[in-house]
Formats: sequence, structure tokens, C-alpha cells
Amino acid sequence: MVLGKINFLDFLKIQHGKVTGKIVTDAKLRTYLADYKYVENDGSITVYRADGTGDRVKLPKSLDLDESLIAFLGIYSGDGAKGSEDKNNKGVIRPTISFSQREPHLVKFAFDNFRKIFGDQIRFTFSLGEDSAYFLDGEGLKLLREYYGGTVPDTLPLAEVKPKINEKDEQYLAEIRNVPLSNDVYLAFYYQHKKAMEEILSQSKKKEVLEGGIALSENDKVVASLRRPFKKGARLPGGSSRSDELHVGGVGKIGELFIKIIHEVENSVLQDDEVSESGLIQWNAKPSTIGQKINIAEFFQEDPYGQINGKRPSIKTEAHWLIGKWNGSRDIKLHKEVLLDPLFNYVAGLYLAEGSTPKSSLFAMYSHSASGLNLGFTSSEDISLQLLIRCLRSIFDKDECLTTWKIKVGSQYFPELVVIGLKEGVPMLRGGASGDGKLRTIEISLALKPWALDVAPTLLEYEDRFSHVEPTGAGLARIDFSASSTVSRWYFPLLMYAVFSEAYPNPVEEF
Amino acid sequence: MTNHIFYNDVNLEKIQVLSEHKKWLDQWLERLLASIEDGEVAASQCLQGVLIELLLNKSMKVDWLGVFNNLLMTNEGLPMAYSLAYGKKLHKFDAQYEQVTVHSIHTFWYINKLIDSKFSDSKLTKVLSEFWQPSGWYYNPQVSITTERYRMRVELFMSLAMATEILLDTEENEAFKTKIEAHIMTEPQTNYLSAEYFRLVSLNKINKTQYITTIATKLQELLLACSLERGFSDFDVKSKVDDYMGTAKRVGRDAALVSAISTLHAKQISESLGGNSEIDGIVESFNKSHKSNPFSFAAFKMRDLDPDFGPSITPHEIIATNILSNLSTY
Repeated sequence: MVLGKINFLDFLKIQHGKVTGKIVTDAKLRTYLADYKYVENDGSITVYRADGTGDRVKLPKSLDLDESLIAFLGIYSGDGAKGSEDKNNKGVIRPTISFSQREPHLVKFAFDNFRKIFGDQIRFTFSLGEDSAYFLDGEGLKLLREYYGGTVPDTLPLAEVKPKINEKDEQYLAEIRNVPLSNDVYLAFYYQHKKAMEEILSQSKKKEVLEGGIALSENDKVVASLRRPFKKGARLPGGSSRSDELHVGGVGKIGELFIKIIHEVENSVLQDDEVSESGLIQWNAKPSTIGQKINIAEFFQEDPYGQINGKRPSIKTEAHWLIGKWNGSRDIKLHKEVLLDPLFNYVAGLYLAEGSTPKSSLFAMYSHSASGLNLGFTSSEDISLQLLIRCLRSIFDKDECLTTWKIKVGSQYFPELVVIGLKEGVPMLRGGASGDGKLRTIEISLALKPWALDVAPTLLEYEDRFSHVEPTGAGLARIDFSASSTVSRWYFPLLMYAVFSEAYPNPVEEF
Repeated sequence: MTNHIFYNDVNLEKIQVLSEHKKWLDQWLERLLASIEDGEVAASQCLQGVLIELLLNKSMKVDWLGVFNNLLMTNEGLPMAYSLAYGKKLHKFDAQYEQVTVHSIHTFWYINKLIDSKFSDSKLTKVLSEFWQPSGWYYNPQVSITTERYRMRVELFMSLAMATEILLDTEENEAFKTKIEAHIMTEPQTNYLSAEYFRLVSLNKINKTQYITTIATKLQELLLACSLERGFSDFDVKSKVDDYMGTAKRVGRDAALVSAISTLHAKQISESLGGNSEIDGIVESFNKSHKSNPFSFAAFKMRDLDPDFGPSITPHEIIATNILSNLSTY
């Protein structure tokens, strides 16, 4: 169903080609700005940077926004590249267009939607990045042995493998890490087997891409890149820190325009505006009033997406609500109808990207018993949290939408946590053997609660469900909320329907 | 003598407090007492309440031991860090509120010592001794099972200093002192002023401060690394590295925070090294800035986000500020 459109031509006319906006990623506030020119063709426009750099990109004058594309923009908002900071212009980012995701259905989904927007002029590079520590033991070492026909050659001295080391190598050698052997041995391993490791990974990636149903053109590439051992993510030999990216070529310097689409969609659904602030997005009517209306009872009783592992829930009516119950679960109140409006579709994509539920579980639930189906979401911005909670409230009673929330703080900010504790006169006592469990020092958790409520006022209604601070991961402080598995059994089938039903009518056979 | 291990060698009764700070502390204490009426209290709050009373009233008027006995005792008669109602401030924290820590034991012991300088409790010292780990540190693994590699350095050094103070007060024991000395001397220097401060406190307790001179150069470097224009931070932002990989963190948007507590730690570390005019100069800048603006306390920020990441002003920050101000006029 077409719910609106992206008005490329009208937008560029009104804005005189100027694209600008603010973006908050990882708690960093940055701006993007670019000047574009365009040439009108028959039915399309060619857009390019006013300074002549980058690609000349053909776009339709306006592009229909259907559920799939809206969901894709939500996914991109979570998993898409936002760009890197301009070295010569601090606080300004230069967005590129690429997408980080491994799950094959989502990669295909992204692939198809990039084509929907940019057509055949683009080319794709599927890349797989991995920590070369992966090949030091376990599965990775096994693959390396197979590559060499049974025995991996002994690692030669670094001076022999790489007589002239570069600045990054020097930095690597100087770093102190708690690993079995010395840095120079690992660096020698890296250089000696780099080509082999790259070939193994690129073959593996290509197989995944093809099995995912993507037909590669001659312009598309599959590549692999290796990081020096233990440089980022892997902590032990054999450990993995895999990153999968889908880079889009042929759209150089159009990143600002692309990011603008996402922001305008997001803000217009947040504010429920029929036309987005700068006119780029136009919905058919107020976003909250358009979309496919789903009769919940019928959906879960009849639709192929309304079942989990071949089973369906029981549903009865009670006053204005439905009372639903899956086998082995509890009763829950549901609205009788849900509108799959732009907000619902956008959030469906956002959750697929950033939700804590393993993607594989969402695809597997149609043919396997549901496990790991808890609903969890992490963000350092209020907008994402607000959108998700509003979406859940369109299905459930508000009390069901959030069970508990917490603040996760990465190791970069542990020293800050310690000082916060010292200000209260307490030591920071961590939880769990590795220290990434619930913080035992209540004072520090309570000291940070106001920060979270300030950053995410959406949580004020659920203030009393704040559970703790959790020192985990490496980066910034972010807010994590969860809802019960009862909620997820109802929400996930609707989410999957909203995003995939058009491309995959029969989830049981196709996932 | 009312000195607490957080403010070593400082007789709190002799500290003159700025009138603006007096009012703030009074109000803080009032709010605490109201919470206590509702059963909500932490041992850390009791300590702050005691210190405020010593500063403002030169004596304790509140029955803090009564608060402990009513709200902060296990069934076995051991002092806890949190009351049941305090624990309920976190959703589903449940039985985890019941924590007997080195810190809660020390707070209870300190209050008792203020009332009776001869106070001694064999049950406390027995429990504390049971917290000793083969590695040399003191902590209760039932509260936190985190392996030592991941425990915060200041937690370990603070608990060590607290345990040392209590156990030596119970019995002057040369073998125990030697054990502590050996442990401290083999622990590598940390990147945190607070951890080094508590190391110094432990050395003071066992009369082995001469060891400090063997690490003087590195400590001076740490002091300078943690120095800012108008005070000290507990850590140098540039020293943040990943625990596992040793790679430097991207700290472009992380800002160091001047803290009165850290500035006091810096001053005391510096004095143990024989003093340093550069350090003294920074401490004086701190004092001047607080004299002109008594409430110029800062809070962390999470990168570009505006809300304060944690508190700016707390009783301990005010106490440290007033101690620093008084030290400059000695």
C-alpha cells in the first residue's frame, strides 16, 4: 500500500538544492550539509553536488513510500552508516551510504530497497570484516588448515614477513593486551596469512549472499578485510568480531540527501505531520490515520504470519479489548484493531535493526518453537524509544509496553562511574564474574537515573521500573528497556507481517 | 579526633565551613532525616550525615547507631549498606539490597568509635578477616563475585585501607602490617588519584610511608596528568584504554572533571611526596574559584548530551572543598 511519497524534485526546488540537518549518533551531536544541483529529465531528475564532486545520481521526481520502503528507512536508521566526521570541519559529518547487517533476509531486503530508490545505476560491495584472531583457533583455524591443505605454515619472524612496518603497526606493537603470545608474533601471523584469510572470508560471504537470493551483477563485488589480531572485539584466539557491510557505489556525495529522507520520515511520523518540515516527505494524510487496518483476532486466527511454529493463540473479547493467550503464556489485553501506519512500519524496521531479539529467532519462529523471543531495545536518544513505545501502545495496554529499564554504560565511562561513586562516598561494586552484571552499588544507579529521564522523557511514565546501571560493553551510556515475552509473541508476528508479507507471502516455507 | 579515612589526618571539628555551604548541608541533612522516617537509608548516607554534624555542630546529635540498629542490620547483627526500603528504589533489586560490605562495616565501626574511642567488636573483626582474599584484597564475594581483574582499583584500595584501619585498631600486629606492606608494594600503580590516595592511607596506617618515595616519580607524573587549570580530576581522560586490547579510546568528546575530592587527594598525595609548588598552585586556583563561586561544582556529561551524567554537588564535594579552603589558611 502506498502511504505517501518522497518529493525529490519539489524538495530541491523549495530548498534551492540545500540539504542540511542535525544528527545525534552515539551521543555525538553533529550536522550535515550539502548543496545540490539537479537537472530535470523525463520522469526523473539527475542530482549532483553543486561543487561538481561525487556522482551524478538519477532519481525519480517523486518516489512512492510503501510499507516496505518505510520499514527499510527504519532499518537504515538503526543499521545504516551515518558517516564520519569531517577532519577539516569538526562537528560536520559526511554521510556515506552503507548498511551493516548479516542476516541474509535483511541484507536482501536492503538490497531490494536500495534498488527501489536508486534503480540500476548503483553497484554493491558486500564486505565482511573480521578480527584475524578468529583464525588463531577454533573454527577459523580449521578453515585456515583446509585452505593450506592440512597444515598451517609456522609463523615466520615479523622482520621477515613485514620488513618495513608502518605507523599503525607500530601503534599495535606498543599496545598492551592480555593475550597468550606477544604482539609481534600476532602481527607476523596477520601479515603472513592475510591473503589466505581474505580469500576464505570472501568466499564464505559470497556463498551467503547467493544463498540469500541476491543475484550479483558484474559490477557488484564481495570482499573481505582483516583487522590485526585482538584489535577490536575478539579477546581470545579463535574469537570473532565480525562486521558485515553492504556498501552502495554510484551514489557518491548523495549521503546527505539520503539521511535527510530518513530524518524527515522519522520526524513527520513523530509529530504526525502530513507534510514533513522541509517538504521532502508527503503522506497521503496525517500519518496516524493511514495504513492497512489489521483485525487482530482475524490476523492471529488466519493469516500465515499470525502463527508461531504452527500454533495459534486463543482470543476472546472483553468489552473494548481482546484478551489473548498463547499456549504456555499468560493472558494479555490487546486492542481489537491495529493500524499499520507509517509509524508502525518505521518502528518495525528500527526494531529489526536495533532490537535485542536475535534476528534469526524472528525468522525461525514460524517453523520452530519460540525461544529467545524477548523484546528489548537500546538507545541513547528519546526519539527511538518514544516511537517504539507508541507503536506498542497501539497494540497493548500501556502498562504492558515496558517491564523494566536500565542504563548500560560501556568501559570507556567506568572511570566516570567510579567518580560518581566517590562523590557519594561509595566504591563501585560490579556484578557478575566479568563485572558486566547488575551494579551492586545502588547509589550510583540512583545517581544516574535523572540523567536517563532527562535524555529520554518518554520513560517518565515508567520511572518506577528503573532497575539498575549495568557496566557492559565498550562505549557510551545508553538506555535499555525490555518488555515481557508475552508482549513479544504478539508484536513480532505483526512486525514481520508489516515488513516482509509483500515479498514473502508464506513465512513458514520462505524463512 | 574525628578524622575519617576519606579525609585522612583532618579533624573535622576544626574545619570552618562557608555559610552558603552550611545551609546546603543543613537542608541535605533534613531531607535525609525525612527519608529515614520512611525507612529509606544507606550506610553511605549515614556517614555523610555524621560528617555533616561534625562539621556543623561539632558533635553528633542524631542517633546514627539507632538508625543502623533499626534499619541497617542483618538478622545476625552485621551492618548493611542499604535498608530494605532503600533497596526498593530500584525495580526488582529484591534481596540484593542486603549487602554487608567492608564499607558498611567501616561506617558502623567509625560511628561507634566516635561515641566510644575504645569501641571494639570481635564479630566485626571476624567477619572482616573472613573478607580477606588470598590475593591480599578485602571484599565480600557474596555481594560481588566479580573477579579481581575486573574490580575497580579504588574499590580494592579503599576496602584495603578500611580493613587495615579496623584490624590494626583491634590489635597492633606486626605480621599483619608486613602482610599489608608486601601486598601494597607489589600492586602496580594505577591511573587514578583516588586509588593512589587510598594506597597512601594504608601505608600511613602501617607506618610505611617511606615506600611512597620509591614510586614518587610516577606519582608526580600521575598528579600532573590529572591536573586541570583549577583543580584535579581523578583520572587523565587521555589514559583511557580498552581493558583487553590496550587500544586507546576515542576520547575527543570526553571531558575531565574538576572534583574537590580529587583535588584533596592530589594535595595529600603531593604532601606525602614532600610537596610541589605546581600542585599547590593548582590547589590554590581551586580555592580561589570556589571562594568567588561557592557552588561551582561540575557534573560529567555524556559526550554532547546536555543532561548531567551524575551529580555535581554532594556532601563529600562540599566537605572536601571546605577542607581544602581551611588547609590553605593553616
